[in-house]
Amino acid sequence: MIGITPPLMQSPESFQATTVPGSKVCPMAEAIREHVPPGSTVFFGGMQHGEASAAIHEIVRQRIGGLTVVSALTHTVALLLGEGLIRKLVSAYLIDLYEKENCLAARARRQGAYPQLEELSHYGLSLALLAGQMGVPFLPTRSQLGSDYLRHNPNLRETACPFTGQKLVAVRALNPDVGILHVQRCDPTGAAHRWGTLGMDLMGINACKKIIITTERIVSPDVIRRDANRTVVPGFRVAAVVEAPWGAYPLHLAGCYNSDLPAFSAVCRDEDAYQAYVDRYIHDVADRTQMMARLVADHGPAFLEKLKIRQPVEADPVLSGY
Amino acid sequence: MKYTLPEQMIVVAARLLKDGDVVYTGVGLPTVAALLARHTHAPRLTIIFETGIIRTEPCLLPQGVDTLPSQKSADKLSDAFYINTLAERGLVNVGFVGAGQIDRHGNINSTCSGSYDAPTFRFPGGGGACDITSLCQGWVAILRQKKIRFPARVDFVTGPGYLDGTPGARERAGLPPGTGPRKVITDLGVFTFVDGEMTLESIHAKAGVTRAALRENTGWELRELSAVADTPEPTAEEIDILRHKIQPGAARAQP
Repeated sequence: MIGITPPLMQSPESFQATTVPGSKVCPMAEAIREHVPPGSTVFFGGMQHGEASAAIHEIVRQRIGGLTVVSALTHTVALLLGEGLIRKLVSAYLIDLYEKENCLAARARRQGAYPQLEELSHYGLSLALLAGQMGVPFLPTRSQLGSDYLRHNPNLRETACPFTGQKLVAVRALNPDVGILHVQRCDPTGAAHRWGTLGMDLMGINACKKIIITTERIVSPDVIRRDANRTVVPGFRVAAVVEAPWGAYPLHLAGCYNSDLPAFSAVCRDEDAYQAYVDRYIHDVADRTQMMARLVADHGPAFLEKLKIRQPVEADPVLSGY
Repeated sequence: MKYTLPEQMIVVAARLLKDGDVVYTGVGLPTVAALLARHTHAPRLTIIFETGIIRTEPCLLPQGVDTLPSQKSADKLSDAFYINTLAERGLVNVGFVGAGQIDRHGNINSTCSGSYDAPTFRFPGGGGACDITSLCQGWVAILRQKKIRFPARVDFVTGPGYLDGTPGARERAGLPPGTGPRKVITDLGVFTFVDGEMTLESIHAKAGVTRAALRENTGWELRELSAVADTPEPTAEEIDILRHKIQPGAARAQP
């Protein structure tokens, strides 16, 4: 099988993560319990690609609330909304806010948990996170000038260029307490490879004070080092590494599996379907592996077949060494 | 020849693109239009999706903008930051956006109606719409037309059009000079902008749309060009490509 072995279809290569010095490998439940306390500001990677869904499910399972959520086009954040766990949402778009077709905002409101909204454009959000990564107080752009984002978001402020006097928006830096990014492969120290579209992943994860990497497979450090340009975060920045095959489901993940987003979107439009989904696939299972086994049992082998990558594409090798 | 009103809208949008253009497109009908242009008169079109996809090869129509098919065979996979730096540098010729509402000066609202702190109605949020409408050299809105979606003035400016419609309003606000909305394409007609005001350019008369329907579905006294055309209809070739190459099967993008 080319590239990452789709889990549940083949046994992963046996690799002893615990033999690597500085291993941060731990189970999902432990990583979340340890590093995501109630009231945290959390960044979730995955802009409609490779979302940190397994981690989000675990947060729901542990009922960790009062969160300030920072995310861009991350569909499974809907679960945090529906469960009333979001105190504040820093984002540019969440389909579930559109109540004409979606039920989870109303459900949050009934729990007294409709979140405070702090909105900005997608570019604005990427700059807030990049400023956070850089450790500078803000970054400038002309985007959002003339818009009502400026009027309502206290972390956007009109300013002037100190050299030319040109009008700009200062986008205030964001440094979330913890960031969770799901990747294709990662070594036990936390050095992580991620490919496909990157959304806000690079600056988002690097802006965070603490980083959790969830990964389809844990690989040896040698695998990471042979393609070091692909490493999105080095090990010394990472607090925990969690092996979570299918960790982005129902979203797609480059090199691993296709999307099941239409099915998830349908669940978020119907309160009964949503309640059944949360009960059966989150609270009534211990982890992602059990969830996937249950989905296969419920839907049959065709379920996995439709997610499979049928036409894998392999790149020419990237040589290094001396 | 039979075609649907969404197909009429897509064809108008596609024909606005020139070969060699760089287009930053949002979800739904706008993406279909970009793909149609690529398949017909604009073989050197560059299509940009906001999660970080830059492609010159067509792709299967994605749900949203990001799927494995829309990533496959891209020229560059990057991130939202890179895409928007291209726009702010003035390198993106055209932006295509949908919107919850658009007003007489082309300002779009995908945020809320009523007051922001206690809205009467919430849209999902602007996403990248503010970036597209602020930064691209020019942009085009593509949406279905109903009076409630075409108010005289939107309650929340998610993406700036010509703001209050006074000359130079965008530039005074600090937006890049010469940028702004060029056309609005709906299921009733096509609008251009004259001195910052949305102005009727053509009506889908051959599909049975009447002037009365158009005015009934506009929330202000709509101005017209002195000669309003019948919108040129889709060709058989365009319909064939839409139905068999881009959107085979029952799934159709909705505005």
